[in-house]
Amino acid sequence: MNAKKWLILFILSSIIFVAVPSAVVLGFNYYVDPLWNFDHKNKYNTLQASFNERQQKTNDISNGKFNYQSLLIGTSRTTYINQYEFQEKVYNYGLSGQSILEYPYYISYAQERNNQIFNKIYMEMTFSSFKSTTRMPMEHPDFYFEKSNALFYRYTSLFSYDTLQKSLDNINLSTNDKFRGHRAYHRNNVAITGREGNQVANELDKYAEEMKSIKKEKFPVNKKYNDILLTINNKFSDSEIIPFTDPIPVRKLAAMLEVEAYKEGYEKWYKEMVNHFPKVYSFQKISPITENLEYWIDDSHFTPEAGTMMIKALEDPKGNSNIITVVTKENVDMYLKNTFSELEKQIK
Amino acid sequence: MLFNSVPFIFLFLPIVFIGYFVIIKSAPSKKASIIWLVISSLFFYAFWNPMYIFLILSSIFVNYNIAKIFHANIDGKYKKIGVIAGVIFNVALLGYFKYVDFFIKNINGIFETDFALLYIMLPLAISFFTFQQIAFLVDNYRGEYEKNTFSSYALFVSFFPQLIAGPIVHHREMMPQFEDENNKNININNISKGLFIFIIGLTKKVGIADTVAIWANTGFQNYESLSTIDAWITSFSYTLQLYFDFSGYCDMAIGIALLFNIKLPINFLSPYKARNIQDFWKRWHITLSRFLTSYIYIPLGGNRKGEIRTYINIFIVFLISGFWHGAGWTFVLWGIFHGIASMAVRLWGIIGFKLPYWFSWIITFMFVNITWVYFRATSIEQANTIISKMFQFNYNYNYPLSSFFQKPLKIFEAAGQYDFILFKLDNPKIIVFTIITLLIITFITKNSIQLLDRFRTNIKTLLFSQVLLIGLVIIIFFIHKNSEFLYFNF
Repeated sequence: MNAKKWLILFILSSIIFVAVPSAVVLGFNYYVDPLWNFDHKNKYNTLQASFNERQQKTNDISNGKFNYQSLLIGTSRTTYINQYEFQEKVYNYGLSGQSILEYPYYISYAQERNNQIFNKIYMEMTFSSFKSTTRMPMEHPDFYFEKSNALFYRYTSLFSYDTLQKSLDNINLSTNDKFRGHRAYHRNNVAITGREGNQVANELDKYAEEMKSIKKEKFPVNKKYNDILLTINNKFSDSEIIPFTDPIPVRKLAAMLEVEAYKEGYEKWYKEMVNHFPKVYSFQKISPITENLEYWIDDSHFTPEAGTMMIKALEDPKGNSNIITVVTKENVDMYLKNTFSELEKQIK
Repeated sequence: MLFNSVPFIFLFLPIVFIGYFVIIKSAPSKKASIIWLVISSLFFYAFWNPMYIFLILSSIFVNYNIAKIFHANIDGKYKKIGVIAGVIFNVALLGYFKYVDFFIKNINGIFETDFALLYIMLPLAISFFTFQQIAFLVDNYRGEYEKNTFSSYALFVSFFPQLIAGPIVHHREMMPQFEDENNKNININNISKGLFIFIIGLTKKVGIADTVAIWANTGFQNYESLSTIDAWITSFSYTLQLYFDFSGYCDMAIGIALLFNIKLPINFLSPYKARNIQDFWKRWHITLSRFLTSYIYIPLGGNRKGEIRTYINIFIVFLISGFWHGAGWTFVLWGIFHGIASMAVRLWGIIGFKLPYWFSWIITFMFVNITWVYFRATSIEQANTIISKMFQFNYNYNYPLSSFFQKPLKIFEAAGQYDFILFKLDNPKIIVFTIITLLIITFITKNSIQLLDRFRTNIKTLLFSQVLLIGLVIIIFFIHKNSEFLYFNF
């Protein structure tokens, strides 16, 4: 065989045995797109499993036309807030287990990608982030940004058994009548849940039991908290920051604040927040959301319906004073006093 | 941009290859094709960090102009000043970018000072192009030069197939090839050979090295908890990773260069078949040994100044070799070990001490395997811990040895995420089988250079390349993972 023939046969066999099968896998994964690198919709990708929102939402921001008026950032709780219920165009960058230490990175990334300065940054504040145990997750946000922006990543990530499995999962989710899992997304970044919340009461009982066993003398304060809020304020001073505290079921909050150390920490947390922000929007008083277990998927996560009520309250606090309180430096003591006394009444 | 990356294989290489031959056919100047390769190589270099393109360009410019002085009819004294200045320039450049933080750390440690570290990012390829240019300067000073142009000199330094990981090429073997008009035609035979060895290299790098690296990395990460078996798995995995990674990269470099009708020197010749350390260094990173012999060992006096000086010279060469490989005490120690072993081999040879072939081969391989632990370790303490675990029997599993192959290896648990449907990479049967098979391949099979020498355009080589290619694609398909984040509670 001469060299020319060898080369032609080599190219042909590579096409048949390597390129064609690879193209089939690439095409299939492209069609379902479990990594959110493209924006096409079809009946096989109406529902998407959220195996890693950090990568998926970052890919969505990197590869799509990212043009939003405001941003919503927070933990898995905020993922259930439907961004389309806001009156303005808001992107929901809520991420499972997002630590407050990650906020500046993800806000910066979204801001860099956005065509305009965000009018508002809706920022979820959680009491757990005020604890000293708050850590960066194993993968630094830069890991996801770099990966998402790596040359040809959108295409190379399609050639993977792991991606293929996720595509098959998504087809399964999309073609099944009813979703029963914890969380899945529509193609437009709206999360849904299949959980019905019938275990919430048990979970709250369990939580109350656990809290009884805690005998902490002092709340372990996150020493970086002050610095991180300063950083956020300084770094995003062109946008209006709307800090809002997550709703907590009344029974859970009451059980938590029965521990003296936690009560002390809770007070410090509110005072720290109002030191940095003129207004903190609290959803933690006794309200239809915090009282009614129908608004809960589990003892930490509220339903998308409650999320929509929160949006309305953030946009019009006065008109929704039954679920939201605007806490300031001036009224923080009064707010805490009222909350504690209402909770005590509730326990009795 | 690595040789095994998608942008390189599917974009950069085809564009440069097609552009090269189009320019040869269409451009009026003979230099145009060389300039095209220089520009492509600089782009390849700048792709990693555009700022460092000024570094390589200034290095090329300074060295070329110093060498030009030697061609002028000037006093020998000034030539000597020129060569010393040139070598100092190159060594200083390398010293600043590669070693300055190492020295600051050590000064701070010894004198309890608090000098701030500079955190300089090591420029890609600086160790390679510095050595190549020192050789060029010294040879020009010695009068061993041939006529050359700036463009072919710039290509000799920057030629992308060998730029970032060697081989350390010599100007005499490269520049004439760039200028040779016979090399400027498309040569189907060279393309076939180039593709053949490129696929072998790609399979070695991506298919083998990157897979055994999973065990090596996990083992080094969890070094404090290793059992004796884990420690041996870790060291063998790294020994194999290094071999298949580096030799694979060199194979790819040879293959890419062949597409342009350029022959790169051989850099690997079955080093794990060596029967003593001197033999090992004639097979491992051959072009480095060639440089160190020609430009350090011989100028120091080689073996011409008596036995003791010979031993000292050998030791110095290996000390430099260790330090060249990396700015850290682990590398220095690794170089020292190899220096001592090399001196011992010489001494044994002189006193006529001879071991049976198989025994000397085992000792050599084990020595290489153990010293690689220092090469990979992030601290001497880490290396010592792993080596001590290799030799102190500690089973460390809560089930009997007879059940060893029945359960996933806990220490390599992270490798379990790589799921090949029929097995996962934390499966002890797979780990042990793979390591033994790969070791046998390195011990007894023909190496890629021998395969290239015997290459014929026939059905056998066609099938062989296709099998490698399909195997490679399958491994890539299964190894490529998306990270998961399943923590839902907050």
